Amino acid sequence: MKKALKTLLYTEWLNFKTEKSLLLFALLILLAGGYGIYSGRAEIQRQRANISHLDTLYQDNIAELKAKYPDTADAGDIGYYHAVFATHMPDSWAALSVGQRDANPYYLKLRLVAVHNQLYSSENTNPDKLATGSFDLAFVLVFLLPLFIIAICFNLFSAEKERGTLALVLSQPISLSTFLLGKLLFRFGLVVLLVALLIAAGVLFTGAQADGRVLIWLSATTLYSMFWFGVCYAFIVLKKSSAFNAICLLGVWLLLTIIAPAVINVVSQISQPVTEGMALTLKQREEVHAGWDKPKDETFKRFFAHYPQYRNTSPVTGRFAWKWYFAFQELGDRSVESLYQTYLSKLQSRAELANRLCMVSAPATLQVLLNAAGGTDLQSHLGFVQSARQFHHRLKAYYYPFLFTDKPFLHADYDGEPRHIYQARSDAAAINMAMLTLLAITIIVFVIATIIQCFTTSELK
Amino acid sequence: MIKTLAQKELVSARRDKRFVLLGAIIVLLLMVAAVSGVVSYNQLSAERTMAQHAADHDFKSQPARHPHRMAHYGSYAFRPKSSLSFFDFGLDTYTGTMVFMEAHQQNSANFSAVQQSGGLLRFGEMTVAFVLQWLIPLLIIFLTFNTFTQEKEQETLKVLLSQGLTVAQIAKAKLQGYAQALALIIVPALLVASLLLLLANGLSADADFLLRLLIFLTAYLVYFFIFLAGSILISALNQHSRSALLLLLGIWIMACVIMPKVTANWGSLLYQTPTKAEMDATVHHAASHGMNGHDPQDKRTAEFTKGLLAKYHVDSVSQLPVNIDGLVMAEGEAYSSKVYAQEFDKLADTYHRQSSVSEWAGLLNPYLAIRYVSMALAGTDAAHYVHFLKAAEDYRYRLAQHLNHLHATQLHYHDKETRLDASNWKNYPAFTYHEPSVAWALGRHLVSVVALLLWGGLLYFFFTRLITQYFTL
Amino acid sequence: MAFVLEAKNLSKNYQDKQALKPLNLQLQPGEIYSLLGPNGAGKSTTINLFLGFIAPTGGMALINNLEVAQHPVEIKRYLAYIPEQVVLYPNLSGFENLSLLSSLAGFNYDADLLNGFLLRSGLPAEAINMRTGAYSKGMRQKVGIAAALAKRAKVLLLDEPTSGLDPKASNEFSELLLQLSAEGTAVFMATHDIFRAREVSSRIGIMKAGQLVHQLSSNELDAHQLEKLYLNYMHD
Repeated sequence: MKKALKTLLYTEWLNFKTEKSLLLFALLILLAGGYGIYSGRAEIQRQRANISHLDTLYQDNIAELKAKYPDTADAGDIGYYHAVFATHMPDSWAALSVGQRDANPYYLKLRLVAVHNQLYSSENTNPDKLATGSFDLAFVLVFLLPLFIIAICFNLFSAEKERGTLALVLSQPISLSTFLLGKLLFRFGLVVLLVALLIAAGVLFTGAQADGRVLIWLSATTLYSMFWFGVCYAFIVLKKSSAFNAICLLGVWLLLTIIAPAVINVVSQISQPVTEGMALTLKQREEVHAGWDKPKDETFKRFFAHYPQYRNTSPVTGRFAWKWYFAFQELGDRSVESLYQTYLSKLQSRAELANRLCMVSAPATLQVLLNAAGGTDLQSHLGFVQSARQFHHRLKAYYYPFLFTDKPFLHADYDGEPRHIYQARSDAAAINMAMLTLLAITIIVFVIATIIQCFTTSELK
Repeated sequence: MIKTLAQKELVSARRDKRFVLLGAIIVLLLMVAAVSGVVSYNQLSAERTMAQHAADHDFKSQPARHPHRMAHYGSYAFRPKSSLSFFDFGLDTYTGTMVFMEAHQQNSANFSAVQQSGGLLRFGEMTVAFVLQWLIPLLIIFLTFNTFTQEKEQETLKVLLSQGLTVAQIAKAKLQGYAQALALIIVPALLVASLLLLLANGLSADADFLLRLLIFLTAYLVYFFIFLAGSILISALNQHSRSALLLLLGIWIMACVIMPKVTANWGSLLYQTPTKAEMDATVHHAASHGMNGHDPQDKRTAEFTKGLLAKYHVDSVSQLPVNIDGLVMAEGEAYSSKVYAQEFDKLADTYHRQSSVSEWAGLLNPYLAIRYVSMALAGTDAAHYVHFLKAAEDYRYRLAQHLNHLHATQLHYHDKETRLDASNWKNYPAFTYHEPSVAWALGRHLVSVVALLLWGGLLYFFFTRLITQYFTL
Repeated sequence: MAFVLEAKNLSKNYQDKQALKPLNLQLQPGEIYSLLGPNGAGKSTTINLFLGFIAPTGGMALINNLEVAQHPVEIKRYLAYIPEQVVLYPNLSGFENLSLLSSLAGFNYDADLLNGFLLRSGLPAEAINMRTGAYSKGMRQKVGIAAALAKRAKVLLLDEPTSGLDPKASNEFSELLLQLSAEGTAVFMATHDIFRAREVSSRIGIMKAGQLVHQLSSNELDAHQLEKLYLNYMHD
């Protein structure tokens, strides 16, 4: 058996070297992978460049304010006119799986005013490009790799049968399963080799950190390949014609990579509508603008409840003072806090529902895993927004002492202003969950294939 | 003769278990897509209409206020779902739905569905357009890949030819037969979907809507014809069913899966989109230093004041019969809006150029052509989105200027206390959005329209000639 | 008990059709048995049953005293099979195809030996390293014969071996069968070629509608009488 297997593998190798279509497919997948790596890298590089350009904008803004207020300034003016950036730095693996980074803003322009309607601004992105999606390595592995596997496996048995080579081979003392195993093993080896090559190239070319995630990517894509080999195997053992296999396998591919995720998405959107985003923006506007008309004492009373340290600062007597303005801005934020928490938890539970449902689709599971590994998923974005809010708190903590103790804001004080960078990180829990799911569905597919094999005739004619 | 043969194809297609099964699956998916489309259309429509009403109500019920306070209180524009959008969600999922419109500042459209969903959304959406653009071509391929090759393999073709038929006649008959068989599936399904659409629309349909629907359906018929004729052609020019099928599936994967991504990515690599922060900075800089860089705001204001004093023959601004605060703000608003419009047009142009890579590729790939035509007709393409953003910006500008006008005419110089009567906002017309006409919509995508017609036309006129010329037994 | 091929009440049904009615048959080493009969008489079914490619409905097929259905892999050590159409991997040379087949059969031949088998089967020396995609039907069949030779099989199963061969190739093939038979290989072949069958066989069976209707040893009749007999059976 061992020797026969070796012979079969060697023959497959000889066949592979001379069979143009197989070589062509392998070349195509390498080419697509190469382009995926290149364009993912270009996308993330552009994001990095844009992020670093933000610093120029920031410095320009400071220079402008310094010119406008040559000596000292009221910190309120600065807080109102000065914009700082909260930035979401891509992880070194982001280029290999761009994920949601093209759809969600990777920086937020923040001023000291009420934060809530500053958190949802979107970046200039061509919706057409967003709709088509990124052509990154993850796309090649999730979408095209199964097609490659199907292309090299769908007629693995049927072609030999249809051509007639099967009779002579099977009159030798080897079983059909050994014969199929040899062919499948060879192709599996080829796929794993190509995938490993692409991942290695991706890591080298995009500068992804060569950490444990190399192993995660490798094992996840290997499992994923096994899943698709299992699917192919289930159809091969039915011993139907090549055309039947091609049609069915493409149907399964469509079902798992497009229809199932789309249906999951519709289900999660219809069953978990998230309208709080719009509602809280509207409510916050009411609260903030009502601040103008409320008695100042009442506003301060509510504000000082949160900031007792400023209770004994100088009172506001005139029509307008910045500290009063920022006090009701903050109260506006606080008034929608619970709505915001609901918004977040609804987004979370919608994402969780989708993630739970996505176990019916191996491609969706792999995509979730790769995005989680590169810190390019919705979770990472929500983490960034959360951290941007904390940053806004830090800004307030920096500016409020100026405002409430009537301390003039000097040029040197710009330097002390807090800055923000949120480093995207991979999400170990999501990775583990997705990996386990992949493992489970791969096992299920093999069990199904084995059952099918048991129930199909062993006859060859 | 052709009619008899076409009848034979129709009958054998209808008796083909593959056809019945796949047809049933596709009709089912089409219905699932249509129903879930209606549900989410109703949900989103209701959500936005309600939000728009709430925002309008808030604005109208503001008490007496200083006009500039109202200018910052601002208003909201929610993008209404276009009535055909449930056939083709197009880019709706990826575009913002809510714009905050206030004085001095142009805000982005926020709360797009993609920002509120996980990565699953990016796999695609189950819409009627998806079934029509992806699955029906596959059905056509599965149905027809071996229509000639099988007859070659079983040698029935020789029998037919020996009856005095030409290959061209046989091909035409096949085209007719399969077209009829497909019509059996597609036409009722599309009629039902259209009926759903009319129902969802409350049975109120204006001429433009009906025209959009009609062209929408016609465009898809052309698209199906392209695949049907192409598939039969490839079957005729191949010797073996296996190679015809592989070739057709390869073409399908290339056309629907790989090429759109490549061209979209290529477009965005070729033309760089400025970031929102960059654009804001440019607008700010141009507004304060002048569009030419030598016309700073202070200087413009000083000149404007001088002109005003001369016009009314007075010595100081406090003697003016109008409030210069409002006028200066109106001037500033006009100037910065002009700058913004210029930058926004550049941005829209960048988007357009990025997408034009894909649109021109439609000349090679009918899938890309139908994609843009379909989105245009459904009102869910980038052009409609930009149209909405411009409408919102237009409203924002008018509102700001209206409030500046009140400021200039009803308030005294440097008056920050006086509040104007609530009726001033109560009677201001709310934001309403009108979709552009179908001619405008298609005008944005002439390349795609031409590509689709070219493909259809070429195949229609050269179908038999190509087969006659390149056919081998 | 020294039978190398044996059928005991071997039968095969497809749904309601009896493809092979219970068959009893024994072959000793060195015997050449030809099965005559029209298309659809059950000749190929019989061969496929001995190969284990299809499962019997009743009875058993034995190769070298092993029941085929029980030992589908094991029995293939003792038999060699040459189908009517020998189809080889077109991208591999005759040599590579033979090397594959014989090493699947568990033999480790060196290149000289492999070349020897190919030459003995009658393949022209210059064709050995050409891709078999360019081979004629006769050349491909010679590779099939070489594979059978290389296997040193006890039983050779042949399905219409001479159909489509020119008279010279067909004659060479007969020579080879006689040689193998002299070396002790039992040959079981399905054929339409009455004259060739008469020439090489030690026994001949006539099949009709799934049933073995007549058996005779080849020296009982000459070729013309055999043809008459055969046609007689086919008429009624």
